[in-house]
Amino acid sequence: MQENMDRLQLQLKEDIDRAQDFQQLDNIRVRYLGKKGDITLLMRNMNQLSPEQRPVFGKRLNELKNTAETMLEQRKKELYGELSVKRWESERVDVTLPGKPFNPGRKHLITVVLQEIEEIFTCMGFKIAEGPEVELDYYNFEALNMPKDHPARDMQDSFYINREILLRTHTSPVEVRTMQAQAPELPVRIISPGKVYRRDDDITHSPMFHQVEGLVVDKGITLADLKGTLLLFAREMFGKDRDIRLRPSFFPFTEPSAEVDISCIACDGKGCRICGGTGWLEILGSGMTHPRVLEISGYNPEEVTGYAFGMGVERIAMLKYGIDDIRLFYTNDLRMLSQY
Amino acid sequence: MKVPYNWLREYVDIPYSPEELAHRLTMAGIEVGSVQVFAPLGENFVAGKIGALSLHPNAQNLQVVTVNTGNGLLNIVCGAWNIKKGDMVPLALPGAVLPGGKEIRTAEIKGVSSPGMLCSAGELGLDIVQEEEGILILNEGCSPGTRLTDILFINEPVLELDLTPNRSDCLGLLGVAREVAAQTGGKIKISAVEVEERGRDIRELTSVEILDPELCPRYTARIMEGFKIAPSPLNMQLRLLSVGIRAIYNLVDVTNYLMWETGFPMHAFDYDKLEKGRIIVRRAHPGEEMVTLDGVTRTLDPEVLVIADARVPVGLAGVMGGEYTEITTATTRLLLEAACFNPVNIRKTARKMNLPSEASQRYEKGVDPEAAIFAQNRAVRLIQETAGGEICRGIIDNYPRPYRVPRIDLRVKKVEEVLGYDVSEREITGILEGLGLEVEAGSPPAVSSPRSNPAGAIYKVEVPSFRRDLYEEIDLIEEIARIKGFEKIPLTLPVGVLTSGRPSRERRVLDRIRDVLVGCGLQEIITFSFMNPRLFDELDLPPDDFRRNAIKLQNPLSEEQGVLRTTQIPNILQVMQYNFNRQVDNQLIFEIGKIFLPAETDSKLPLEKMLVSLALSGKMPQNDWQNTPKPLDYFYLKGILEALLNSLGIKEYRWEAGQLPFLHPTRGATLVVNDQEAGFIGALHPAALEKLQFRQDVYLAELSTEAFLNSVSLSPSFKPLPRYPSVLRDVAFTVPEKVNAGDIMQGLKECGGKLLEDIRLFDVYKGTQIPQGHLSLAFALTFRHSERTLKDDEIDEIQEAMEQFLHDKYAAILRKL
Repeated sequence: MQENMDRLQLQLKEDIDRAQDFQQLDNIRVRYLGKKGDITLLMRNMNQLSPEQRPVFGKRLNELKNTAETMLEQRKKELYGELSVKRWESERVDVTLPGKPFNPGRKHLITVVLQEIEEIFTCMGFKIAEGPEVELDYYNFEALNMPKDHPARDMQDSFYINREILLRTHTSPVEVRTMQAQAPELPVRIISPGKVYRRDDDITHSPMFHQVEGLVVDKGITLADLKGTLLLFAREMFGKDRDIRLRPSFFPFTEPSAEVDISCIACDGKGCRICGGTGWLEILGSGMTHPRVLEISGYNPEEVTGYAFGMGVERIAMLKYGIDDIRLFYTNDLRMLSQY
Repeated sequence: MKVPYNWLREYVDIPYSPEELAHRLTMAGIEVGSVQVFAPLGENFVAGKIGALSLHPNAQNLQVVTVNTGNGLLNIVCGAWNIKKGDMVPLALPGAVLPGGKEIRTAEIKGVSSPGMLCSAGELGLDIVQEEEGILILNEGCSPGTRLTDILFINEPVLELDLTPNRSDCLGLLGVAREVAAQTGGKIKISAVEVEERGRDIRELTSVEILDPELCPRYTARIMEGFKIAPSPLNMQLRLLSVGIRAIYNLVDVTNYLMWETGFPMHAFDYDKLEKGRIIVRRAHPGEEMVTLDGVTRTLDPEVLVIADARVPVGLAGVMGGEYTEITTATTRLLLEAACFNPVNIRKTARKMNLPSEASQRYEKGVDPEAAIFAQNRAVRLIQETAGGEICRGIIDNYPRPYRVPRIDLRVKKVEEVLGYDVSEREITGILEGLGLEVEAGSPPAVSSPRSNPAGAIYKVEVPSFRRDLYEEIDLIEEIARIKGFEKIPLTLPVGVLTSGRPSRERRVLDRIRDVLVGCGLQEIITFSFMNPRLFDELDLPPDDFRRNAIKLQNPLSEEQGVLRTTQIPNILQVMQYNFNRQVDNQLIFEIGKIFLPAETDSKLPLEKMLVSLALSGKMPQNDWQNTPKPLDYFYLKGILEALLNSLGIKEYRWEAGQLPFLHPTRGATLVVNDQEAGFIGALHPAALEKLQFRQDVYLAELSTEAFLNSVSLSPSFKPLPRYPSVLRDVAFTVPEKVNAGDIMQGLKECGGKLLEDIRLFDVYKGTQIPQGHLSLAFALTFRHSERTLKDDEIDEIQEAMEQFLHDKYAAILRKL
């Protein structure tokens, strides 16, 4: 019996060492430890032994069983290590192959810039006001202090539908409409973004372009407030190092009027090709709302004052993105648009 | 407006360099676009005095000239013959560089050394008029050796002003000089002109009658005789040239010179050609004709103001003179006009005749009526100086609408109210007086400090005629800010109640639409609001389609931009064409923009509607080494629209097959949202593809936001999460081909009731396993009860009901899977 067991242990070790995969190992387990396994059978035959022999053999047999299980487990671990290496090798991916192409769309660059401008002003509490793109001569010109035959009308050559109706040449008519709807309530604090139209077509003029105009009417609004607001805008839009400068100018609907320059974004005001050596870039027109415009719009210019400004979105986009031909915006070349 | 720096200095002292002057003017609102040097000439050009002349020993067409350079004598070889002993001429010494770039060196010319060159006007780059061709004769008194740049009005920095329309006063150098004086506190150097009159009284010679004083508020005339017509003095010619005017001869040059100096256009008539020597300012008779200076016969109408003699028009007032009365070398007497005309009328005439001129440009903006006499006197004096002659006694001044000096009340307090900073009373009066305005303290009298009197001081300000752009208080406030300098304005921010800047619901909906479409991989485009009406034909739009009724522009830039768009599709197709032509084959694009539909009457504004338009063509974007790319199709586009509707919270919608504009007859559908037509989707009609020469299918959709805006739910309410498991069932039906999948799904939904949570079509099959004329539709159905776990037999029951219903209604048969 003792001999038997010793032989069995030797045989078992030999078998286990020879097992090359989990299946073989499992077969070995069944052969020794299964229901009809060699060790199991020995254990079943214990009752044939004398009561004196039983505890001795029983102990020995249990040890054998434990040893068998340990050896099987041990070999399983070894096999696992050996097999994994093969498996990982067979499951290797080339991590440098390109990823799944996702092609998110893009907003048009003008939308991007327009939304950025809108965001800056709406965060300051400016409400967005909108109005018709095809407009009455009255709102586009007359109510803005440009009666018929006013020479300033020449500044903005317009597309007409008939004598009284035209494509708006600026978004200022929205300001008049807003004031007329709101007067005499205060404050008016709006921007009016949108498409505008002028009869011009070259590398700096497009027959359709976008403007954002702004208007604040309240008690005590001053030219200094205008300057402060525009500096804030310039720094949000073009970076915190920007300076602005106001130059007197002329618009029929504001007085005093000013052109607004920012320090050149390319050279920081030192003077370069972009700014024509001046160190400054013109970005918008502005001024104090003309008393007559306030009056026409239902406000008493003796009690309230206002400021207004207007900028071309394409101009801002061209400066910010270094684009030198306005017509590129409306060619809609997808190779260009997908850059932004 | 060109402003030569040194010419300007004749009227005012300028303590600045040309560049600094340009900067200061710009910062005061007189924008200087550029400063460029007129007739730049380098070193080594001097005046030389001709001494002995002798023939070149070896060449018959040359002579050797001894020239006094002030620093000795030089022998110069010269090929021109218009010079004589004693003439002062330009001499280029070795080292001088001609404007063309040629450098002068000592040269051997046919055996004679020539250490320099005598120059013609052309060689110096000067386009002037001379009595004789050849070497330029310097008729200015100067001594030999003087540098040319010290004698001639060349090397002149010229400021180019970009004037705003209100500052017509700066269309004359005197106006610019006043602006400079206002900044420097200097004085204008020119004063009244003494005129020596002789001979006959002008009233014996002519009369001026103004028939329409509204169009001609003032007309002045002088008559001169006995002058000699000749080229103007060299420096006068150079001055004119420096502002872009080519000299002709003295009489004309003087009027141009005066216009530049005073901003007042003048005109000279040949007096002897005026019928009865008379001037009548009147509207033209209907159909009346006249030949203008440019030789063109013009047909006139009563809108046109003319200067006529006793018989016919001799000039278009303020725009262009007539040919017949033009000054010629034969002219012996002239009538000089300095008049004011109605700006609007001049503008209309200049436009109608397409004759913009320096004169009309000034009249259109208005000239200073009070300057007429000054201009007359300056002109006749200058003519006398340059051409001799006598000035007839007297001046005719017909002035039916005299200038009235406006008196403006200026409240000191208002200045601060508008500008946002304090300007002292002394400063205010200083600035206004510096501009030539008269300021007097009005009532209530100025109290010692404006702060002790809420109303503050009030000034009465009188505006001279040369600043007619100033006529109300705000104009004066602007002048104060302008001269004080905008850089002095402090930086503040408006103070007041808070307001919300949040975008409106409609804008937020549009933003969401844009975000969803961009997220679906579409590129936004923006096209013009105009379109080419011919595209309607190309796209075979039915003649009665409402889109054809597009609003026409009266003055489009071109036929391609002739009408306002009534759909965005044609412009989008053009964008696709552009990109196809540039090898961009995969295009997924959209535009959000307005269309314009006519109102019932012409006096009303058109209807503007916001559209969202999409177009796809090419391969699906999932195009990589793992997938064979599939072409984009109807269902790709429909899926995007479904995603869009879903993210807008729109639940109630359906697709109705139909024949639609632009679209393939059997591949198009109308989108119906809440029983309202909201737009269309489909494949572009094959005929249109062919016309556009597209080689691949295009899928289009166009939605009107108006139709579904009210159904949008931007913030849907929370639905509790399910607490019980769902049951999944796959079912397939064999259905006749004519039956729409949508109807089958609708049937399933109705039978499923609220236990049917979701329904997904996962296979459409047509082939051997299915009877001909049929196809198989396979659905994955998800059932769930919100309050308990569903039992199999409950679902079996529903499934049987589905089977029965679809069989009865659509002859659909359940397939055993």
